[in-house]
Amino acid sequence: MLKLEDVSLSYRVGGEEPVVAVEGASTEIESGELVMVYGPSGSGKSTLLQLSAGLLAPDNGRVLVNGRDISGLSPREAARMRLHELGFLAAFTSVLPAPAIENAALKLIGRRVSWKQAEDQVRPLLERLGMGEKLDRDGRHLSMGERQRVMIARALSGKPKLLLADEPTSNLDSRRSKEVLGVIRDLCHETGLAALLVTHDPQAAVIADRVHVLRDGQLTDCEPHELTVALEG
Amino acid sequence: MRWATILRLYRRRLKETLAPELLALLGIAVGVALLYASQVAGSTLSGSAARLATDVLGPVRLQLLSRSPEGMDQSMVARVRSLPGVRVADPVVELPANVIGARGSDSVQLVGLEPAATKISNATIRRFSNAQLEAQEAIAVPASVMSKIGSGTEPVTLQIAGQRRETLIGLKIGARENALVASSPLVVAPLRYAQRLAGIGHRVTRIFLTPQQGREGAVRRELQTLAGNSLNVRPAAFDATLFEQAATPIEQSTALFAAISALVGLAFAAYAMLLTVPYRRGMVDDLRMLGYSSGEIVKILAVDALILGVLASLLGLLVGELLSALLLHADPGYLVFAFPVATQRHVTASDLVLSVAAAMLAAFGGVFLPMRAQVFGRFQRRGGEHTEMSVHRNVAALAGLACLALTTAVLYLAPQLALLGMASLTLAVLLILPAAMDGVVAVCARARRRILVATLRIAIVNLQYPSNRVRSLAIAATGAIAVFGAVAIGGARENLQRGLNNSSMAFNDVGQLWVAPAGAYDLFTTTPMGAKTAAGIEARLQGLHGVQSVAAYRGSYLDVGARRTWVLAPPLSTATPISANQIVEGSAVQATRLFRAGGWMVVSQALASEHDLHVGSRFTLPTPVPTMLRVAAIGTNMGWPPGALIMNAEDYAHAWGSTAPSAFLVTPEPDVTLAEVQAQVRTAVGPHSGLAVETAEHRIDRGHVASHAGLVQLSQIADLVLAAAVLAMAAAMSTLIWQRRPQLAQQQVEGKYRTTLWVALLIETSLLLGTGCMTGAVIGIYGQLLLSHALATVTGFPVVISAGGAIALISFGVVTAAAVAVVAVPGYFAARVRPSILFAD
Repeated sequence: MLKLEDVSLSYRVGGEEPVVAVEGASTEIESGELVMVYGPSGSGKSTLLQLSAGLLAPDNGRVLVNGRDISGLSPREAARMRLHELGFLAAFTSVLPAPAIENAALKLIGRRVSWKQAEDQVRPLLERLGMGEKLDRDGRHLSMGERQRVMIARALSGKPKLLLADEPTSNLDSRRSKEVLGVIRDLCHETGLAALLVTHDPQAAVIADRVHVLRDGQLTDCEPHELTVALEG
Repeated sequence: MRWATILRLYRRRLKETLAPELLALLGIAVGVALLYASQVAGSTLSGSAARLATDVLGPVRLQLLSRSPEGMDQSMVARVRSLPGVRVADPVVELPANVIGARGSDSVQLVGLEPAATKISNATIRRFSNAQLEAQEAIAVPASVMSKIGSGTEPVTLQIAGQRRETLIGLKIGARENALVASSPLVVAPLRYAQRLAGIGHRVTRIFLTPQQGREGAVRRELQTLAGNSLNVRPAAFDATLFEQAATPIEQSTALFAAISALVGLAFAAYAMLLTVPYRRGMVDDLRMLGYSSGEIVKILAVDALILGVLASLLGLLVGELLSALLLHADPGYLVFAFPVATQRHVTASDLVLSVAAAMLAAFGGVFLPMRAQVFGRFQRRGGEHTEMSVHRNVAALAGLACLALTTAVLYLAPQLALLGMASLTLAVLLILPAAMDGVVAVCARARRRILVATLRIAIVNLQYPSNRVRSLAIAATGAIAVFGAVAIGGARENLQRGLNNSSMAFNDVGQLWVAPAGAYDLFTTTPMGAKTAAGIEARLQGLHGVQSVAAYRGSYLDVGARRTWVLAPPLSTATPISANQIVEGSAVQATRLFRAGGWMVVSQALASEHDLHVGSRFTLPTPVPTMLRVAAIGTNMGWPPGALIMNAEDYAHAWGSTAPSAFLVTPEPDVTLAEVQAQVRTAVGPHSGLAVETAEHRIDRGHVASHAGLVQLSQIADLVLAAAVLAMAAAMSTLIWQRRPQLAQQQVEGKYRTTLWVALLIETSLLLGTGCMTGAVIGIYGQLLLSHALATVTGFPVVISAGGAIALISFGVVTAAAVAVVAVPGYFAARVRPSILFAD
């Protein structure tokens, strides 16, 4: 579903030396597979996700989503692919001053469906994520953990083939974290969803099919039980 | 994406963005209101002047016009009527007058008409025969004049040609009879009665004609022969042409000021819109990540802009309508002394279209311009912003300097392009401001280590936050533009006022004591007294023991081409007939010598340019007795927009074929005080003469008051800009402070007292607004010079060109202090935010 082929990206800050964000990263994620990417702050995790979503274009290499090179697509085609085939959860997303269910439905209304149809589609997801009691609560009055779950529901709405999530459990306690990751795990099994999650949370590794570590822009394979050692370097 | 969906999304987002959106709406509305009100004021005057003749007399085509204010003999009417091809010929008497009622007085034109000729109030007039109307010894007064003088059934007094007459109001002309006439400064009377009131015997000032179908050309030729060199043949609507020419400089200056105000208003809007940018930017980023196409995002933003534009248009038009009706109403100023101009509001489609277009431009520009890269470009990596900002700031500062250079070029090479110069200066303010702000912050930051006062240290740290920078700059820019506009407009207005005051002094200082027709209508002393009245008065004044000499001053208006010029003719004995500060080309000493020699005149600049006249040129004036005079010097227009001519009273008497004076100048004996002579003269003239006995000083003061009233629109525009600036900045700063409550909560968590935070906010506001306003004030002084030059060059007004530091300091102080005072309230509440808002979980 997602294939990174020797992907590199560097950027320059002012007149300073270029900073390498991602260097020669390669991996492949099949349908139904859940892959975690770990790495310390500033290691390039978010950049890797943005490359995978076609929001950034690599300097070298290719990013293939469902067999199509997303970096070669026009902005309009890339946007269409994100809307219909991808679910993207950013680390920082603003909530609308609207009910939780409308916040979750925001992606679907971009597909020319009515608010009602969109809400009908996201309601089961929100219930599954433990938000069934708070569907009508204003997004601004939700706790950080609740907002996080609304955003996960938004990313998973519309049955995407690939989920790209940046720190999906960062605001959740360990019990909620396990529940949310369990939902994603189950969706991978049930619907063939491929998921690439970048995280700091070592607990999350236990449910992953595969684990990568990103350090100084380089992506390496890692066994879950070796994770702590790998992260400490 | 469906429109209903977009609208629902808009409504949801509005809960969070309401304050900045309202601020942006207010900013755009202020600009639109100023633009609309000034447009309407212009349309009203020109539109009214064009329609008045036909509204009073019907579809007349031509007129035979006297060149002298004393008019022509009425026997001319019969000669005109007997010309082949003339269908109708209506004689008219038209004289400036003052009407005094129970509650006040008003300057008007007394119009005498043959009752059968008038169209006004047809329904009322047709109930009477011509003979009955002829017998009426009453005047018809428009509603607008009635409301000023407050009369009902009691008699009113008319001051006319130096006489006082009691009369009755026979008819009130209301909007139902004729809306345009109802708002005009004129009173109407049957012809014979008007002649008796004015004491001009059987004389008329013009004859309006309607030729038979297809005979207009032939009638015009016949009339020309009849007129010879002593009367003018003109189209019936010629006064509208004269008025348009006369009003152009005033309209130009008002339009210039209004355009600058609108520029300021729209700049408020643009910068107020910056406050909404962070919200929109966050939304656009989220939507792009979700996969919304650029087209969908454009639709969402277009709805934002459309709603903002429509609401701002409506609010702007509403406020503009109120402004134009209550404050910036069309005011012909002292042009009313020479033209009967109605002030019936006249809103054209172009006034509306232009205002709505400006609102839409501001709204769409404000929404889309800051977002264009985000919507249409690749997803941007955030980073390196500080360095990029420094580079942009330096480039902007250089561009700002280039704008200043462009303005300098406009100032010296083409002052008529003042609007371009002002736009370039406005841009300079905006481009230089970031460097000025960063400079102040850098100086403060350097001093921070040595500063022990906690509040000041916190204020400086707050100013250094990169996340606050864009919004802080937006607010400082709003203040800078407002103060810039207020200083430029207010300063130029003061320079113009000083110039007009100088002219008033130059005109009135030719005598110590004036005996002239009483009433505001004769401010320029252009109405001749009746010969008999004048002879009697002169004899009485000569006999007074405190009077050394009495000299006749003459003056009137003279149509030269399409200009109704003001003719000033002081007596030969005048010590300083021509003031040096009114000379543009030539020498005052030389001009005075030639004035005394006779056969020379001073011509105002625009008239000289129009006829290619220079010092020494010969020019034949179209006076009742056409007379060739030579140009002694080129002068200002003495504050009378169409232009002025100065000659000696003897030359005037020859050219007009009349010795009737417009005033007497009395010189007291050396051993008698001016007050004593004034009292003697008043007694000699008598209380019911219709003449006023005034010192030059008093007349100068009257001139100042009149010119101040004439410039009131410009003062109002300058004051409005200041008021709008205070409101806009206070609102913007309050919004910014309100948005920063989490930051303030964080500072409380760190142990800062609420009072400390509040004082720090006020210091930060003062630094921010102070820097912005100071930048605006300094560049505003340059704008003031540019506008003053433009006014002098384009309009020919006697502008004193100087850079007024006082107005810059006052504007800077008032705007900064008022905005800080307003911000103190929301700042107090924001500083008391509960730290618990940080812990939403």
